[in-house]
Amino acid sequence: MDLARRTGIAFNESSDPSPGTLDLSTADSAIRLGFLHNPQTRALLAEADLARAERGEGRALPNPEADFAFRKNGGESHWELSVLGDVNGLLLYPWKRGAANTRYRATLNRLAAHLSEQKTQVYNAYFSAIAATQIQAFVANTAATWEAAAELSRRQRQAGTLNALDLAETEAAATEARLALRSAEGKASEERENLARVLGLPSSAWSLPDSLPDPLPEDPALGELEALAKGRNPGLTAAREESHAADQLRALASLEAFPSLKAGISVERDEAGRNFMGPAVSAEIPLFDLGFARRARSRAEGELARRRLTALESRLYPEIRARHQALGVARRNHEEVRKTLIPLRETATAEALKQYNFMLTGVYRLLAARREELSARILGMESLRDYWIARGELERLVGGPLPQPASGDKP
Amino acid sequence: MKLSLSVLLLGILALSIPLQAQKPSPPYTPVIMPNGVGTLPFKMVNGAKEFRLTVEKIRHEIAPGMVVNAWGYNGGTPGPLIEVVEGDRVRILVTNKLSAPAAVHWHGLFLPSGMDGVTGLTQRGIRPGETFRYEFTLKQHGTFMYHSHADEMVQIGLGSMGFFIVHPKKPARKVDRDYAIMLNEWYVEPGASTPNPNEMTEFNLFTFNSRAFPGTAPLVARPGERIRIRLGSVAQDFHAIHLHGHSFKITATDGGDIPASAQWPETTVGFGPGQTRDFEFTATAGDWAFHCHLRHHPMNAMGHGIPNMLGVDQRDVEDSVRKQVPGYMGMGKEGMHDMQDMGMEGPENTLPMMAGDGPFGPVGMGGMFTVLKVHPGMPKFASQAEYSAKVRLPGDMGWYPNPPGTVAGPVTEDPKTDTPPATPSIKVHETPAKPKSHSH
Repeated sequence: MDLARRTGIAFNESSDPSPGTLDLSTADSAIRLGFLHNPQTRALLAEADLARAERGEGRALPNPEADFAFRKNGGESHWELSVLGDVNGLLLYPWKRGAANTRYRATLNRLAAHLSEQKTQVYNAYFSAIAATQIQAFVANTAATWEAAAELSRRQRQAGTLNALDLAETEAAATEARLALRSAEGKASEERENLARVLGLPSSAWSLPDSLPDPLPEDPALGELEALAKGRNPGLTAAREESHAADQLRALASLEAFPSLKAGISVERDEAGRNFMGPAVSAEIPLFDLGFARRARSRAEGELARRRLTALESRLYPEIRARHQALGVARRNHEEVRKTLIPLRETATAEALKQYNFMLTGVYRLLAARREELSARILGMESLRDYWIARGELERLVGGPLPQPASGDKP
Repeated sequence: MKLSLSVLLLGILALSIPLQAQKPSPPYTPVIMPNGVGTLPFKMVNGAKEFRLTVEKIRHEIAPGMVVNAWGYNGGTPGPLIEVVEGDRVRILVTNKLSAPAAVHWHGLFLPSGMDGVTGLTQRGIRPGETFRYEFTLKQHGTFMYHSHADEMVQIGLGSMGFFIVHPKKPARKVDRDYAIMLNEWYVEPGASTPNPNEMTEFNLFTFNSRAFPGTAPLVARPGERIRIRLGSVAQDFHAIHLHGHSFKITATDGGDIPASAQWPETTVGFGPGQTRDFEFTATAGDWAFHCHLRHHPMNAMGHGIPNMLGVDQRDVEDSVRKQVPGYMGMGKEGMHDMQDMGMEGPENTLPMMAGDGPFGPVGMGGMFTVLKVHPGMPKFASQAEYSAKVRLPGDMGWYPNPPGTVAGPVTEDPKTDTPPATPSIKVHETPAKPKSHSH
């Protein structure tokens, strides 16, 4: 559940993938399904198990060493037994344990960052697939207007009221509309397969809702998001903890500059059956490896971790600002399209019909008005899709769900 | 005492002259402008008939369902009829209530050059709020016009025109009814309300007295009456005005009377912009169409670029279009008459291309179209005001009760049942169904 907490999506990390109920009614339900079924997600979860084991290893006390020797000559025998403990290991144990914990947390956050990436992929794929299906329907209608226009043109030509140029132009436009429809169908199919890939489930196993949800009543302010990201972005947290772990390891490396010392007890029985017992000490002679390279490495690792943290921070905030800007643009565009452009285009179609009724305009102009209305609907769908994708990206950047207004329903 | 009484009597006599002048018993049949705003009253002042004209912005109904922003005189377009007698001295006080300079040209009249009303050439423009005096003596008789001669393209294009009719001092003959109809052309974007004066050729409204059918008042008469119709045009095009069921003679132009020896019978009078024509005939019983014979002129607005769907079978394509635009109806395969039959909704403040109902169904006309109704017992009208109160729309004054056996009808195969159709029941004074009212 540690990863679930870090990604902001409630899912059972230990659940076995099973088809269960394939609920894709909301983006979160799609993400939960993706976490259960996507092999890459499962691999990440396995990595979390590995990290947990490594933390266990790192937190274990060093075992004592026993040294036993037995010698025999004819009827005489001689044996020695010594038990030595790693003095350095025992002395440095608190530092090692701390470093292991920090590394574990860093690893979990690194995994959470990857999961967030995957969550965003599902988000994007989910909204893109629904939008592409709807856009395909609008493009199909557009193609139908052109097909009707082409058919009318052919009949006009047959009746002797249209010249070859106008017929060719209308038929060419209808052909282009068919090409556009084919592309839209391909795009919709591609988006579905992309969703299938990130879900880890074949597209035949699920179906999508008919429409994208409306934007939420309001979106969080930029400052709020930056503050959230500072404390919650898993990549940033991981980098910060890696930097912290590197500092701890560097301190450890300095302590490890002392020669390795082991101490214990030694027991010996000689040929005469006499027992001897006394302390035993084993020490490393720092003759060739004076530990400089190890310390230099730990210093370099510390520097690397700090630079990575700085680099991440310098990327993160501009990206949040850019996505927040994109979110605002998409919301305003969608609102203007929905509240203004589509009603205006609908009015234009209705007025074109009235003009057609009074023979003030022709059927081709009427169909053109309808096409403009469909274009407006496509624009609305694209801006709605962009809105939800921008929100998904922001969730990734801030490391979890965005703050919800009190009355907001999450899609 | 006798002297004082004589002075008193003379005084009363002197006072009675202007009173009598205001209520003359005219030696002519007063002219009626169907749908007109009236005859302009005058006062005798210093031996001249003094008229007051105000040029101003008005709201004008072209036909029920369509109102335009026009520029007219004394609340109307055409402006009120100026009706005088040859030899009269007239003084016309013109007040400009526009916010642009104005001037009034007295079209066809012989007058001092400085009274001719041409901005810049014979006078400066009448500034907004100013009143100009035009004064001259009428040296001729006939049908003349007055119209703006300042920014003509705009001001005439928006309706600044009227009739100036000078009766002869000694009429050679008297007619029973005397009508005047002014022709004009407008371009009003369908659904808009201000005429576009920039349009040069593609007009979409053609009007009689600034009204388009089915908003035109009929002309009425009794069988056997002598009728005069005066036509004037400030339009842009040539017009060929045709009267059904009659032959007439053009008796005068704005250049003067045509001698009887030079007149010839016609059924259509063709004339151009800036011309007037008077023609006379004896009325024959019936309801007779009276319209411009240029095919698009007895029609209302239509799109000039619409596709020609004659002979185009839309049956199944119509469903495809209707899926995209619910309410669509394929039209035009057999002509344009089906538009009127379907009763479909059009844009606001626009007249259908073809409209109007007669006693036998849709008339399918518009623009420069009206009806000459020659019915027995048709009332006489003493004044323009009385006429306008009772005769506004094509259905007013009822329809002609065709005698049995005189109406065309379908032929049946059985000779026994192949009898002439019965005359439809006549609903006198019924106004035809009005087009959908506009949203003003």
